[in-house]
Amino acid sequence: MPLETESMFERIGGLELPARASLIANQSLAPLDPGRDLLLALFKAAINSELADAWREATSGNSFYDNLLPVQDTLPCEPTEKLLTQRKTEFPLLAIHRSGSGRYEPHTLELTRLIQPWTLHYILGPLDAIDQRKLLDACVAIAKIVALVIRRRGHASFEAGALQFFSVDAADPFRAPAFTSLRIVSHEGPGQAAFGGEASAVTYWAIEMALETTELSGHDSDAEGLLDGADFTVGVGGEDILPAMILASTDDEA
Amino acid sequence: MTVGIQRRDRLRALVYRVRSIPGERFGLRPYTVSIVTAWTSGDITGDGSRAETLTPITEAKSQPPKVRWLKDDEIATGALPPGTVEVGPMTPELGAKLSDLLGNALTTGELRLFRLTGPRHPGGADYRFIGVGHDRALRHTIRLAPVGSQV
Repeated sequence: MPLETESMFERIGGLELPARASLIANQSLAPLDPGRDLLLALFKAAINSELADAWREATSGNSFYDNLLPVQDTLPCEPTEKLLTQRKTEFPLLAIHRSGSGRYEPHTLELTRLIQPWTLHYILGPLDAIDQRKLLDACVAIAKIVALVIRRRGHASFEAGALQFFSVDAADPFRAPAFTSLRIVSHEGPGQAAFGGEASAVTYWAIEMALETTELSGHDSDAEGLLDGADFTVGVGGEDILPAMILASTDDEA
Repeated sequence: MTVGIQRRDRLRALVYRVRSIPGERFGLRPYTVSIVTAWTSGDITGDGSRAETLTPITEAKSQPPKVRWLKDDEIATGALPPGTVEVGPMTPELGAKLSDLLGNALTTGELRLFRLTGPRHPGGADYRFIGVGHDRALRHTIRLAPVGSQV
């Protein structure tokens, strides 16, 4: 099968090659970037866990946002006007996407490092003067919650508090995780956000957080064939006069 | 029911029939328009298998409404996306229901699109909703912008 014989058997971050059909359980290519969905689910769980009680107390019976959670809906992509005029979306909305320019650098002689900016949006929705007072402070609180969740590398409300950004593969402890580092760089807002076109008539209140991740490359050593019965001799010149510097032999299993 | 309401309803029934004439008698309504409600089986929109239902927008005798691509000056002055289409007039209550046009019954994550099929899009093309005019007693209009694959 060409995929099994021709693939590089390499990985970088959450992308593993070859991308087998068995990976695509949900009929989308989203598993090629598993870290994004993980971040979104983690932040949603943490925010709803930490803020739901206070939110309910603030909104119960006296707000347009009554009966909603601090994060009611999520979007694993940029929340553009084009998208939001197609999809039924609820607010408050948490959205995350890769943004800006990812930078590739050599990490070691063998490894490549991708430094990737991300944008995390928390969009409360349209607020009247009463709801501004009641809810707007959730925005900065959420940025702080995100910062603390990143610092702890997880949250008790998500997968029983399992660490999310380290290798968890016991069979391959040196395998690079989806992200080798994650940090919150800054937040902007809370402020008013408007979409283009006719939707610009509605003003949404939102906060935007800039995150940065690092992803490392690696290779699947199990995919490589054994090199049996090979001898290596590395000399330093002067053959038969000076001894070789390195003599090595692989196991001969033949 | 007041006399005014009765008169409104009679007028609506009249224009509902009149709006079928250009298509039925003169073949002047070459585009069919359907409301597309689309969803996928996964937890996140786009994950899993795709399914959709089509609800045709029609006037009397199953005739489609008028479809008009806006002119450049209308698009420029209205700050509208290129390729914006106006569909209508449609007759309130008798033609497409306003709640269906607005997608009020959608659940979170579902998509509401409009599929135009006709000379410019023989295989059908999906458009997204960008606005509705419903301030007249006898007519609704909607504005749509192109999206997705032009089949």
